[in-house]
Amino acid sequence: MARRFDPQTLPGFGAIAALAFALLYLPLIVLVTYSFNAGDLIGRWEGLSWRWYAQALSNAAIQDAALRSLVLALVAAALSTALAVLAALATTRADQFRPRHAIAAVINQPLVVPEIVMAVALLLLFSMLRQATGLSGMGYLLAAHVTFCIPFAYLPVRARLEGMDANLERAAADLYASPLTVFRRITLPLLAPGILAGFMLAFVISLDNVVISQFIKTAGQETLPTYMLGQLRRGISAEIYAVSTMLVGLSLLILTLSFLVNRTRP
Amino acid sequence: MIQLHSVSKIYGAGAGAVTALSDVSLTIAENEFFTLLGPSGCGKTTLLRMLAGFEVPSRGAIVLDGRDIADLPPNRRPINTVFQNYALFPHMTVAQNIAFGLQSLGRPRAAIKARVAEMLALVAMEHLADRKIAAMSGGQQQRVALARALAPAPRILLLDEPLSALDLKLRRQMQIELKRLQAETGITFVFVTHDQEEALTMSDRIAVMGAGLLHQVASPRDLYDRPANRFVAGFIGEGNFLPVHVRSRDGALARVTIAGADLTLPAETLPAGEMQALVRPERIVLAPAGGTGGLHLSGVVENLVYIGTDTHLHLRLPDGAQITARIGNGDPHLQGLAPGARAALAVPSDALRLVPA
Repeated sequence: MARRFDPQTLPGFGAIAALAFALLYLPLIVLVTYSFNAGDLIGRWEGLSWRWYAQALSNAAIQDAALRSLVLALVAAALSTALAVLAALATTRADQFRPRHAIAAVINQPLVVPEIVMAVALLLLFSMLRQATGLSGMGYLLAAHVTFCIPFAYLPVRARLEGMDANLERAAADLYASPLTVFRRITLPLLAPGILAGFMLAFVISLDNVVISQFIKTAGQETLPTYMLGQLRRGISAEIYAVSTMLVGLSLLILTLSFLVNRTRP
Repeated sequence: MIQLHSVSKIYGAGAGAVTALSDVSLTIAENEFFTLLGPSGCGKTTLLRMLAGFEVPSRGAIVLDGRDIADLPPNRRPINTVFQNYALFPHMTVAQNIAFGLQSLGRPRAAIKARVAEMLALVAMEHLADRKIAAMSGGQQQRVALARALAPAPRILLLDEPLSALDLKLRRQMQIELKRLQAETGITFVFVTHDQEEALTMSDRIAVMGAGLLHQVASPRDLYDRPANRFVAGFIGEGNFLPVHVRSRDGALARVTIAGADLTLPAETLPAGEMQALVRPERIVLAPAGGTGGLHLSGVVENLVYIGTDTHLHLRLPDGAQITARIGNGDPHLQGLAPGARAALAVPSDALRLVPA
């Protein structure tokens, strides 16, 4: 009798897996290790130290950029999640004769447009808007972040809605609940884990965006990633490793939370 | 009292249009256990969804207490539903589920509390009031769904195949339970099922549906004894269908040939057009050949199937048709019968039902 094919039985399976994991995590391990280096020479280990962390945390420019990044990510994630919930409701609950699959594809378009193209397009649009309205400020950067965050917030919300029995909403309507009450008492509570997951995903995506921020920001609008990029041009400093390690830690924490929250199925 | 006037439902438009329900008119009385029965795809669920307000008829009117409610949304109809999958709110307790409708109606807090307690007692679930839904068995969820739908005291309770997920023993129990609830609450029940035995057991009246058409509305006994057509006769219970040839109609009497045997019947029992004779297996008796009165058939025994109290006798008639008779095991004529032997059957005249083909 022929045995069922199982890739795990192939020779070298374990070695290839180990190599893949090494390729994925080796750069991060090196980065994290050297962020704790006491010396300031790259590639030479001089002992364990919090030196670069202390220096980064007391650097006014880093503080300023980090605060801007956090506020930007929070507001962009909140706005994009609110829009994503509306979009997800429309594309899963609207009647089946509307082209809702086409609409869902359009919403996800920013995922497949090259980021650099999106950045150039936004730059062009925003410079036209600036000229026409005379308005300046953080609004442009925020609008750009909301734009590319929407699909990331949309996907978990939509997945949650699709896994939810539509009869629950029908049952609530059948029991005299108005459409608004149905949303408040049934849809929203059951959707909450998906909304939270979408929010956290959008937050992380906004927090680590470089390309679009770099194109859109004006003087005095440095975000943490664009600040780091600017510093690296002047030569590599272990201070940036410390900042990077903190960013990795924050992202990891948020993504783990988002995974845990969304694991409870409706 | 709720009335449907020429209700139709058509999905889509043009060449791709599908008629789910075609020109259905019926009246459901106050305090009635009314069942919509038919095979899947017959339109019974579409009809139920229109009563609930989840679908709007393409044509026709649904009149409750003199008012057309066909266009009213579900939350503005005094009609509640027990869903096939129960659709209990998973983030609420049993008591919160039952209270939901009353809260939407804006009832005072004390009244809600009293009514929830009353409903919990009605379905014998007092001890489980604070349980989460996920921690309950299918049978318990069924009771919660019933209590939740009955709590606002609707004019009509709709039940969409609510017993189909339960095992046979629990289903039998719930059939009796539903009957009791209907009698105790005095609420009109509209029950959807594809299970004819379930329909016969529980209903005051049954509407038999097939392919979007309403075939007959009648009591269980009338449906069984006087089916309106071949579809109803075939769907309710078991039956033999024999070819009928009308030789002559002579005033009050008609001379017919059924499966090769000649017979004279009152002309009024003959439907118009093509017809077949329905013979229920349990109305057939083993009899000596050549008797008089009723229909006498003889043929070759094909098979005998022992089923405990009775035996199913499959007989091949001279014209090639097969007929199944259900003979009590105490019948002495059954002794010595074996496949291949000849046997004679008799059908009393009143057990012959001529139905449009």
